[in-house]
Amino acid sequence: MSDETKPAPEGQPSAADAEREAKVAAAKAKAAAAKAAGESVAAPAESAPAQATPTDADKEAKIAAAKAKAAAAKAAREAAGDGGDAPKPAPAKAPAKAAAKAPAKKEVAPAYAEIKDDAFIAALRASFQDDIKEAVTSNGQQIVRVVPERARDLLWYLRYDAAIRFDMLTDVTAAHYPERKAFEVVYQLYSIPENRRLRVKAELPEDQPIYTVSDIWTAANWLEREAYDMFGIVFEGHPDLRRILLPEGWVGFPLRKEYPVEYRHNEWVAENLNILEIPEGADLTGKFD
Amino acid sequence: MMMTQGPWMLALSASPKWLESLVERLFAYLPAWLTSSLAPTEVADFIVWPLIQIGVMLVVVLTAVAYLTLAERKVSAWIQVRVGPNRTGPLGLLQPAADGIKLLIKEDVIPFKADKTVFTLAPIISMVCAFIVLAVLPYGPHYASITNINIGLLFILSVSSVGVLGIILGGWASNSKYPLLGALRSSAQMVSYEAAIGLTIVSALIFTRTFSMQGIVEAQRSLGIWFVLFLFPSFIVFLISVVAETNRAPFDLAEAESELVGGFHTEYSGFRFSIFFIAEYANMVVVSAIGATLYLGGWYVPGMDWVAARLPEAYREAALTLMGVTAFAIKCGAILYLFIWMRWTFPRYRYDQLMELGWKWLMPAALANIALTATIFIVGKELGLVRSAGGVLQMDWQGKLFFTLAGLLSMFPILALLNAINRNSKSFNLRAQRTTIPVSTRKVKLSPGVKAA
Amino acid sequence: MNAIPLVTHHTETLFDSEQMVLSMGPQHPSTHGVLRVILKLDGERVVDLDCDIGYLHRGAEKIFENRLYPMIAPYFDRLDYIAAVSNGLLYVETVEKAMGLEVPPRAQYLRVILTELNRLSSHLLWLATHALDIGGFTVFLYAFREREEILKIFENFFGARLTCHAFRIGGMTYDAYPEFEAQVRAFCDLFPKRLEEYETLLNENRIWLGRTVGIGIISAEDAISLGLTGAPLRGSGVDYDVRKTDPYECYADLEFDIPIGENGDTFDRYLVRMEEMRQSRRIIMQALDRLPDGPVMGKVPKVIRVPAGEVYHSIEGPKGELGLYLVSDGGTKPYRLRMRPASFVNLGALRKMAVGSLVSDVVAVIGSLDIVLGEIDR
Repeated sequence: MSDETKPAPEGQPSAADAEREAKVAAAKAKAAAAKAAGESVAAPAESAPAQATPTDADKEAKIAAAKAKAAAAKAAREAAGDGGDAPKPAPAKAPAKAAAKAPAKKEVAPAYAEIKDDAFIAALRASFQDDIKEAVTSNGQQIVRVVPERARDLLWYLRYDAAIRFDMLTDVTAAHYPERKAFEVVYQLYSIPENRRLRVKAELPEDQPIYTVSDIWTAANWLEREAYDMFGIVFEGHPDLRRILLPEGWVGFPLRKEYPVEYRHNEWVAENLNILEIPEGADLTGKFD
Repeated sequence: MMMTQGPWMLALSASPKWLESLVERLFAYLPAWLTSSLAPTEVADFIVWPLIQIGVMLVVVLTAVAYLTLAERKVSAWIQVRVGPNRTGPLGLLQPAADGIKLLIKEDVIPFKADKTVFTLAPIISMVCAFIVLAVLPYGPHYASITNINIGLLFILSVSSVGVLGIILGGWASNSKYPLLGALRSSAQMVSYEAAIGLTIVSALIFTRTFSMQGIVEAQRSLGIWFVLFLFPSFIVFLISVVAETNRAPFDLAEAESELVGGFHTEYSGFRFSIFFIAEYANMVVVSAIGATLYLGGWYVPGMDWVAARLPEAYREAALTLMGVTAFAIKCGAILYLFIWMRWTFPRYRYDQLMELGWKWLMPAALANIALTATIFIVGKELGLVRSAGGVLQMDWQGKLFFTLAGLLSMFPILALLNAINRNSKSFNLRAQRTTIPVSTRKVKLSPGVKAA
Repeated sequence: MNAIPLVTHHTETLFDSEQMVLSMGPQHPSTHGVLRVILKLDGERVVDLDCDIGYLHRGAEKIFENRLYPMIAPYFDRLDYIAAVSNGLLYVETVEKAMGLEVPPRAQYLRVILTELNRLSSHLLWLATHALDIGGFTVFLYAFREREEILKIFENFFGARLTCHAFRIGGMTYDAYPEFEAQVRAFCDLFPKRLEEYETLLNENRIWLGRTVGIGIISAEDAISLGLTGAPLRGSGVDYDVRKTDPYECYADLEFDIPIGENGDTFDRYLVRMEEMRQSRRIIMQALDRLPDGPVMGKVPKVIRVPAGEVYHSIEGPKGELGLYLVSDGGTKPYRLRMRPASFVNLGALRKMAVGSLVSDVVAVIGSLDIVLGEIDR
């Protein structure tokens, strides 16, 4: 939990390491995708780095090297950064992150900057002490990171007790970080009287439930159902936690990173839609070239 | 029996010579039980001639129904700034034929779990009931109508009530939920509105003094006036009720396509569906004919006797018949146009609102109208403005003026009564609506919006 | 909020039970696409209902994660296909915001004109189908007549009528065609008269009032708690419009009002949308008057790379607040691109609004929520 960046994965692999690792992961992912989807739920651990597809990283690096006017050294650093860090939102070290920035941009602002002079956030920190891991801005938008166990308390506080009452829950969603084996559950809040937005994020380890907020904002009912449907995040205490977009009986959670892009659950399709199976050996890894 | 001279008029007269000779020739081949008690003239009068009339009538009415569908589509197109069907034949005139052929050659699906007998029977009941009624309608004077039974109006009411059975059975036999809901809606609706129709007709009967359809026309002919003038409130109630009775928008709840998909005929397809369709349009023709007969003088137009009297005697009867049939067709057409116009203008009622309209507005209005009309009639009689001679009313221009004014003025007590009844009704009191909601769009508050942060 | 089980094949006989389960949709004339509403009915009264959505789910958010930034834009046209322009605007603006790109003023004004035209066409379609659901067939065709005019302008501008796509990250692909301004002006001159035509048919029509007044009432508190946005929220009297609270493009320079309802019923939502159409026309006229000259494309790097970080951007779509949450890892593809669909959240209010009313009201309420299944299911 560093000051201005997202939590980094263990260690900082070199480019070579990353490439080798990614190749192995890709092979694993292919194997995993060919299997029945039932296993793909259990797959996250083994195919977690599958997203670091070597082709992506290589290609990006090549484009950057060829077209960017920046120095060759910079390009190399960028390639290294991409190879190692592609699946996560921000690299661990500030220089690497700066390199990953678009070369066109001259002034490089940090991705996440600590909120220093905001009375409301300070008050929030005072109330929740260490449960608020950090309060940062990104692109000028305020983000509060909270431990998942206290997320509901914080949101309740923001809805009913805080100096600025966030009466509207705009969105509940999540992002998957397989290398950290975690989700980030994201709550977008809006206060109609104050015209102010706030984003609350809770980093939730996979397989750990989080408390629902559907009784605080009714809007969360469907939004949490969708997060459950797409990520498999269990919202404890939710009155009606069923799949919402995908049909009942679907196996796997599509927006998890290990879930392939092009993929058909043959058994389900054959059973429910009466469509023939995809032949053996078809490429379903969903790579994009 | 009126005898006629002109050779082309033979067809308009019963027992013409050629018919009698034809029957005489056939006589030997007819079954003995048929001819044992009948003379050739009687056979011609009661069997052969009516059969010819029925044949002609069916062809004419079926064609009219077919073109009514075209008219509906054309009129709706004009209302909606469209062109309407114009590809099949000149001006789309062959469209009904094309529709018919399309429906005939479509696959006829009977749902797997449907009650097949009832499912098949339902459209037939609907159509038969709609067409039987055509027998007693007075299309014109004398032989332009098939029969003239003395309880014609009652006959029409009773037979058309049986027509509901077709819809209920069709909805039930489909073994599907939307048709079931549609059938339930339509049975409740038709029962309620039939009551209103029956009651509003009673007030008309005070003046007609007969149930016979021809008699009703004759009553207006002898007075030289249409009853709509005497019975204006009754006419309004009648018009609204029959739209509901025929399941037309804005009362087409039984087949509300945006709610119940197709209502009672959701599961019907091909020709079975088209039979329901034809029955609906035939019903429209029937109710518009009743309306025209009861209130608009049927085939009678003031002055037609005057015109006929100016013609040579030989053509008098024919001219009367021709004018009568034309007038009747025009009047029916006007009412049908009104139906079509209403359908493409108004949104659809909700089920409870429909019931409310039936029982809390039309029913009290019809009842009050009976009482008022009877009172007015008695007052008129006491004043000596109307006399009854041999079951037919006679009155002078003072009497006509009195009854017309009284009929129009009776609107006000009826409206007062309706207002008293419905004052506390939330959903159907325009005044209540106006006080609680902004009626015009301009009443929406306009906000400059929150200042940007 | 008790969950009702998703009943697909109910085994009770029809007449023994007092309640009947009616599956409305996905093939139903008035569920606006492939929405399936499972109604539990007592007679005609709705005891409980459940929405079954996802028939149009295409995994858009998963696809986004595997496409380069410029390649994502066309997918947005297919989300809310009634308001493709608004969706496209949302995407390009979000990326521009994350990259800190400046859009030339001419492009901004053109974007506003096109987006407002799209709002008009979306509202016209809503009016048409809403009226049709309630049985007013004629309004349907009248509204389509005007929508056709807008679609003609779109066809000239974008080359497509439905999946309009001319916004690029950093500006617009091409400038307006020569007659664009005249055509839009001609339409704007005609439009108020046409609006009055619809209102003549509906506003004081007793049946229309009977079907909409007091139907699907939602209080301001409930509306906020349910996360409603757009006309459903404003119909309940909450003054919230992203164009005002967080102006994007050149909305801050333009004068317009936000219509606010009072009672939160179907009729107020109708009134609000009708007035919104007038305001949209006002915006278009102003934007046309001020339309500056100049380039339509800003300076954009050859390879679009969004710096690491995250951004949430929202615009006022015709259906409500369209939000886009972009998490970038500094690469050429988004790490996570989440769309906050207005229709999805608004549809969540259906149960609250429709339980206790009649089947016909459910149809009216669905119509007044103005949903598009392409956006809900994504």
